[in-house]
Amino acid sequence: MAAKTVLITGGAQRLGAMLCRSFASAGWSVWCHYHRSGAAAESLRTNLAQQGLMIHTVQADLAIEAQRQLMMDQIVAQTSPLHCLVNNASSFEPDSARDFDVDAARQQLEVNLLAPMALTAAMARSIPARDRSGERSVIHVLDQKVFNLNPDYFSYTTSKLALERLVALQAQALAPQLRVCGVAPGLMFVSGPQSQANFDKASKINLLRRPINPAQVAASCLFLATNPCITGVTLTVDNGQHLLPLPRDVMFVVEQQPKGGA
Amino acid sequence: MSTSPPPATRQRTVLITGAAKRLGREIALTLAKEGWRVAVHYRDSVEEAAKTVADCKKLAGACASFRANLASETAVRNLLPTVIEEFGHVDALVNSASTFEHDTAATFTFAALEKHVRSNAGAAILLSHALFEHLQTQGDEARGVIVNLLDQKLWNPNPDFMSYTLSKAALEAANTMLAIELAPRMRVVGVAPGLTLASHLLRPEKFDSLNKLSPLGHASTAADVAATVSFALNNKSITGTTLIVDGGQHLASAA
Repeated sequence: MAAKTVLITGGAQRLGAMLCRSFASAGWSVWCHYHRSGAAAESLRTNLAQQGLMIHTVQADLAIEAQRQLMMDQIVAQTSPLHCLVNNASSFEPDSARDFDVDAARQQLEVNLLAPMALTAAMARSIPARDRSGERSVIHVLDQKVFNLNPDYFSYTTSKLALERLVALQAQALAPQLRVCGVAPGLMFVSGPQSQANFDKASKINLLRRPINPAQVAASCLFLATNPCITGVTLTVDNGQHLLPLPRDVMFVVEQQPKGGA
Repeated sequence: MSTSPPPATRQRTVLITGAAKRLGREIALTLAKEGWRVAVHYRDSVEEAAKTVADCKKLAGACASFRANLASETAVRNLLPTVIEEFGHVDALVNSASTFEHDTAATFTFAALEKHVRSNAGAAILLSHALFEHLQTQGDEARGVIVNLLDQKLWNPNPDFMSYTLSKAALEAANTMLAIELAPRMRVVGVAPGLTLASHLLRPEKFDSLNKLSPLGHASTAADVAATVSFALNNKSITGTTLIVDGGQHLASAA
């Protein structure tokens, strides 16, 4: 049997690169989408090839509908209809409820919400209507903050809240051909304006008091892509960060801690 | 006397409640296949427990059964020490045993509520804390994990099985509270199956027709639930949350 095919958006770096590596290691045929990170995507491809793991790379601006559709057509033409789509690409820009730029907010909703909707729809149209094996799935990468709100990164958070509800809605709409699941990680990489020193502290602010291992988050996506009984649910993979409510984003809470404290 | 090897290399041991039959047995076999030593808890199913032990032994080499009535606090408090006596150490607990009897608001009694809450929630809490205390004696680095078997109906309620459902709701709340209280030493994860096996209250024909109503055309299979329990035991970044494995049953209103 031919290898199962997966598209990972934002696959060149950070969690995306880990996802490409995990799926490829498990024998999947991997499409790594990138937008501006062409060099990183190429270096990931070379790096994995040295380990005997072949991946394809594909460039698209996920904010543009024509490019999204072109990418999906290209993948189906070159390999086969997808078995799994991991919507991992995210736009993450600081703004607030009182003072957000509408165009910037629209851009984040386009990448974080409309792109996953459009790519999922294109995938659903491309697979056989009779297919009800539970083999095909869509995984939306969320953020533990959808279960543990703070008002920082307001538009980003709004887009992820909508995406979280989309998990159940698409699962209802697209069963039995497609399963739809979410994975909600916590802080894994230096993010936005964060310094390494800030990250080192913030990454331990969770129940298990240690940094979240991105490999475990990728393993969770792979598990959901494989288990044929799971749909319409989000798995939180965050060392329990969602059970530690904070008034602001964890990176700002660290900044506010008094210097020289314990 | 031999000294036990360091936690990283020694064979992992799991206590599974209600492991003689049905889903608990499937979980026992799956974990034995992965190399776990399995402590099979049972209440009355002597022969089935012996069979599960024999089958696990073929896969993992070490397995033993332990009888206890989980409605009795004394019996629950004695259970883990007996398992530790047999195996030397325990790393994980799967709370799978369930009392499952029918009632509704119309037939509800305090006695039915108490019976369900004792074995389905109370026993799980006592065993969880007993495992936590045991791990505290195993050094600062010793880590453990608990999986609680819940039910998709907590996310898709209907008025049947009032006492049972309340006991599972209590266990779901305990899942979160234990994750907070026992961290960072222990992870606590819920697994919520849907309709998985026919039962004394659900004949095979009825089971088949209900099963097909799930959005995916099938609810959960025992093997897929057991694989999810194994995943929850192994993934070190997951705690204080629940994974529903039900073919999407919780998304559809009950027909």
